[in-house]
Amino acid sequence: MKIHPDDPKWTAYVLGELSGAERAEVERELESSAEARELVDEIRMTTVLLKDELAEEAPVALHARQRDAVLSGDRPRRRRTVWGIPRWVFTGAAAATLGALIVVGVMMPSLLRSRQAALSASAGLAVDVSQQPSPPAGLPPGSGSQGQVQQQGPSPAVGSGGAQSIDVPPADIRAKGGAKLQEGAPSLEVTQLFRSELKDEDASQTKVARQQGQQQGQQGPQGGQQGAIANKGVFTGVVTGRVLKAQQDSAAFAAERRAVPFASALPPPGARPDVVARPPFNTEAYDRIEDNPFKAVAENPLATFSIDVDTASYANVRRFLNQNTLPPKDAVRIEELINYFTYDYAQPGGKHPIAVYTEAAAAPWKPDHRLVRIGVKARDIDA
Amino acid sequence: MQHASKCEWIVAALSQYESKLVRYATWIAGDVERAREIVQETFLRLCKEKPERLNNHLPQWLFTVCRNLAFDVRRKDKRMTPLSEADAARYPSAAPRPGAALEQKEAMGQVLRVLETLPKNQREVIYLKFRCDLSYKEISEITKLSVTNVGFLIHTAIQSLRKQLVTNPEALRRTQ
Repeated sequence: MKIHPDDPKWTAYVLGELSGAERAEVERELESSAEARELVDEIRMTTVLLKDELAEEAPVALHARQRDAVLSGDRPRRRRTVWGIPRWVFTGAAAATLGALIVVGVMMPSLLRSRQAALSASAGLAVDVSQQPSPPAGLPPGSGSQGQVQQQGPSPAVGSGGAQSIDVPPADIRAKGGAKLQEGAPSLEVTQLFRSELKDEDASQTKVARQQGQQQGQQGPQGGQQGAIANKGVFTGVVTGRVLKAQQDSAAFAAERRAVPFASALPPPGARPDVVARPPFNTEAYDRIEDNPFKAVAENPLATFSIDVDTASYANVRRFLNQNTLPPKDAVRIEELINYFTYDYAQPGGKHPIAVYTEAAAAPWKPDHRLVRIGVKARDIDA
Repeated sequence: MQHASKCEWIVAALSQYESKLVRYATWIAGDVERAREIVQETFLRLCKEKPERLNNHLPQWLFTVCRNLAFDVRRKDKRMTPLSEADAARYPSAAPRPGAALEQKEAMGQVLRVLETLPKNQREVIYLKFRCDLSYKEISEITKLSVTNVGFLIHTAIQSLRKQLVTNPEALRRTQ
């Protein structure tokens, strides 16, 4: 009797995967065919050998800290290596863009021509800073007014939580077109750009923000204090801010935009009992995001990054803000925020498939650091 | 009380599946450290599940979550800009020196070496079947392949192994 060695039933038989009827049928064939018996024997030997060798593989366990994290049910402190690049590169570049967009953007409007950039929540906040009336009497001295905001720009604290600068001297920044170093002067232009765009595109958001401002005005000193505590700059405060309880939230949120981010308004280090006392945000879980360390380009000259990125963080931030809540800082991946926007870069010319645009400026919060924005533009293809 | 029993459940799941999952994730993601992160995340997600909800299909759940996470990692990796050969030559390799790789190969069993030559989909089902002791049905739930397809892949892989091992009776003799 001719058997078909390619029929999966032989292996299924050896592995005990056949139903009663199928099994009985195979056993009948085995009785009548020596060829079938030989086949099944060989399959059995192969499976035994396979099992043995696989079992001999040394066990690979989790690291003790990973196990501990699981057993404590805690979110781990983990460095994201998912992208296969040192994360500082991405965050560095991203933070640089963020800086240009949001922090430095207030000072360096020439970096910002994108229509979409004005639609961001950050833009809404930037507008709000200038739209707010002077702060209530309860605000700490030095918290300033709108004029001070625009003239002095973000304080040294701005962006310290969410952004990083790339630790290279400006001379080392080489890219197509060279690096422009701008110690940007304050200007109203960008704020006006934001304002007009916002009016057209996202008036409702402004409205929400204004309402919050009024609410804050009523709450006065408490709100001011919260704002000062949460004070991390116009937008990065939102990025890094801890989630406050509902009532405090709206007050702090408005106050944060209104209270001018000056170092003098910050409480001394460690004097943040209310922050500690807040219950942890636990209705949504986010991986903890850690700042990446500076790296010397001499030792780490090469970086790669994905050109296809998520934009989920922007929607997430918007959702939180629309709920009058600050997003937890780990909910915001800076690159996902920045890459939400469309940038109006010129297309590459000639044979080059991409164009690279860079600009650098002193980091507002640490003038001896340089903040670099790197934009990559590929040629548009007719779809 | 409930908390204590859930802890025991997690600990039991860890000790039973931790190593298998790390191996499995390593196989998909290609890197043991990433695999550990994937498996850690898998178990963290398990912590949020109710034990009774996963009754009777814990391994399927664990392997499925682990597999999805690992494929996410691999998919994102694929989007990375690869080094050009010229660039690559300028940087030292992080891989073990050639001799070390050879020694590792030598130490690896005959069957595993043959296994490495099989297509990925066959290797995956072989691994789930013979290392993780899962049934065709469980493998089918994890890989989203039909049970018939799983049986076919396993059989085809076993046939390839068998044929290659038959030409090398040394390996087969060890089983007798």
